[in-house]
Amino acid sequence: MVGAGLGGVRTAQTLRRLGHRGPVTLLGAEPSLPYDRPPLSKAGLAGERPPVWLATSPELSAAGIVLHTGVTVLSLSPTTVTTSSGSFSYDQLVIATGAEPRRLPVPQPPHGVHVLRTLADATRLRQVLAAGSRLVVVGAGVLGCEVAATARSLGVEVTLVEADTAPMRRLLGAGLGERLAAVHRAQGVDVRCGSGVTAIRGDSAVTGVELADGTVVPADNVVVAIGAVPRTDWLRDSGLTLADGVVCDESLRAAPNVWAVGDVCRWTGTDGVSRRSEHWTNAGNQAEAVAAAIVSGRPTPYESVPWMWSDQYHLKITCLGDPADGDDVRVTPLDDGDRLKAVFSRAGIVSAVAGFSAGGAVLRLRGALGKPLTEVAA
Amino acid sequence: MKVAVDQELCDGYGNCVMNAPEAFDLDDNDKAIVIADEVPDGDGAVERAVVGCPFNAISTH
Repeated sequence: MVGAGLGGVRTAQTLRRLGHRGPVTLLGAEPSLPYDRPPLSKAGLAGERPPVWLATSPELSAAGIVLHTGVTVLSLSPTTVTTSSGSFSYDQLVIATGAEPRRLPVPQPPHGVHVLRTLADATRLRQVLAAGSRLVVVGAGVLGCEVAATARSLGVEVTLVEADTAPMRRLLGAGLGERLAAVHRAQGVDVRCGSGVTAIRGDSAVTGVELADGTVVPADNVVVAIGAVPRTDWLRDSGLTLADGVVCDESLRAAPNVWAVGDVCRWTGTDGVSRRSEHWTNAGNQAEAVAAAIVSGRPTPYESVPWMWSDQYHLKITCLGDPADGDDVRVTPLDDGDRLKAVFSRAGIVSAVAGFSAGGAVLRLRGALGKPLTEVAA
Repeated sequence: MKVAVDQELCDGYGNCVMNAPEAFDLDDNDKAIVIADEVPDGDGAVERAVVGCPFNAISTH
């Protein structure tokens, strides 16, 4: 396994659980034990919870999984991974190198501009999120919204900037996105949509963020959360097909004996659509599918219903299925506050179900996916 | 075997319901509850639910 995040670790653990007897090696880029990333923008960033380890040293030893940390992978041949810590030969290789934060394509001062991907990023960011300081979050996707919410809970003055028309619009559509913007505003966040960032002000440290409409938002710190780019540079000369990820077939195979899982994997679904997913559940499910294929020797098409969640303030936002731009959305409020469920449909067929603090209601509608909307009770 | 959810650890992400809907549901407070009195030993879906819980809140015995 190249990569010791959720995808790599879960593959290794599942190989053992399914009875794989040969050596299992995990190559991790970071210095620490493997840890879980979702809490880094939530309780982990607020300092309320220590890191959630995916596996401890005794657990790895007991399972016969060898972990090398601090490894930079350099290149791949059909038999060998070349790294900063020497070469590793393989019979089966699983690429689980994840993705790295996309950077703003504008000049920026050396201090005060942050990204959030790793435990080290979260530790650094937590240290600067002092109550009363001014933070601009660039990008109101899942990560940006969670960072804004967590920073606000710490008493930080937060401005959330999004080039699109509403927070999380690509995932939830415009209607729910606008409701989410209202939630953030009610918590005291200055939400500014429809305006991209043109410059970051400051010589040695950040002083402000300049928007496309000409306004300048004063800031002590900036978090850039504008998406992630699959880590495939090291595969440039590998012969594998790269296109916003490692291109894989229906069974997540990139080449004979080479597989990819998690954020770095671009696979063709059984519906013929090429996709890549950055959701936690997908990485775990893909890892289990690849481990099963390796142990059994029988690759099977990967099928999984997308399932994601996001914690923001008092809300747990969940989404089941695959909503798309332009889907019809039917929203049902569940109380006088923000709780709701929403059913997405395309040409009368249910494509997704989402909820604000309505996980149970959303999950109970899982049988409705792919069925006519008329069969779903309001 | 029997399945248990530690309600203190559970954060209501619902991965267990996705993995093993015959054994788990979420209650009105979005906490996971066990709905099967007994599941077969080595039940693959329940095993996936155990490892798929982000907060290791599920145990079997």
